Amino acid sequence: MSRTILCVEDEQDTGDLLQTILEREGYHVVRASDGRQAICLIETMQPPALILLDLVVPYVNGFELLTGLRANPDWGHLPIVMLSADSYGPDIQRALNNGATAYVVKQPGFQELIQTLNRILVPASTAKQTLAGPTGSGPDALRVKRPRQRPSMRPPGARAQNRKKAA
Amino acid sequence: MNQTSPDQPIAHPDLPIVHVEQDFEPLLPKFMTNRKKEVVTMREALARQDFDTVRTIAHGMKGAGGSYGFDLVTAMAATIEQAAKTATTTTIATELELLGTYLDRVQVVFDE
Repeated sequence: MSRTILCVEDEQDTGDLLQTILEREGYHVVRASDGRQAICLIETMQPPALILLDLVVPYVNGFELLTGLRANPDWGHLPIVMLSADSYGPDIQRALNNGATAYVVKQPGFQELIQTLNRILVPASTAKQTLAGPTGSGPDALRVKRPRQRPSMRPPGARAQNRKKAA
Repeated sequence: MNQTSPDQPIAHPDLPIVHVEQDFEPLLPKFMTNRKKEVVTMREALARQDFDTVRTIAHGMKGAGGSYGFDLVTAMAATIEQAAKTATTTTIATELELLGTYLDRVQVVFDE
């Protein structure tokens, strides 16, 4: 099972700390510092084991990335953990309703995050049992549904702008 | 910022203290430098009534402070972020003053 985590976090010091902690836990970390960079990586890299998404990132925010990821045939089934400085109830609910696997508030040393990752990234043999089990429809479920067409991860209007540039 | 190793006596016991895990020590100088720079940037933004910049920086600082264990930085940044949303200049100016003083005085103790 891949030990790579895509970490989308715009605040550099927080990203550095996350990388230090995740690497200490044995994960390989690929970082994106904004929504556009995240989309470029999603379109070019192999799907990781998990995506860590900060809620507030420039250009394409965490909610928009989450929606795009869930509609992506190659990435839609991956666990996505939303990360935020706030524990604002409606944001948490919206994230979970939109398919987030978990929502973690930034706290000292990211203890809760590590516990969440260890809970989600169980060995592959156990994960198969989880997918087949009766609890697979909750917000923690690893989704396997795949749409027929690959929807674009580009933000609305980006393609139109590119067409204008080309013209 | 004052930094103290766990086996050293605290030089200034009257200063505010934050405990940080030893593994994160290499990250701390940049963390402190960036927070101080952000205070300057927010002051400049406030001077030109650019509340959007103040709010954005304060939000990032709120998360960074929380991640590193600087709870007071998080609390002050949260106050600044909220005040920026309502363009409350006096609150922002007061909190930035407190934040600047705190960052200059805070003493970091690295725990194993």
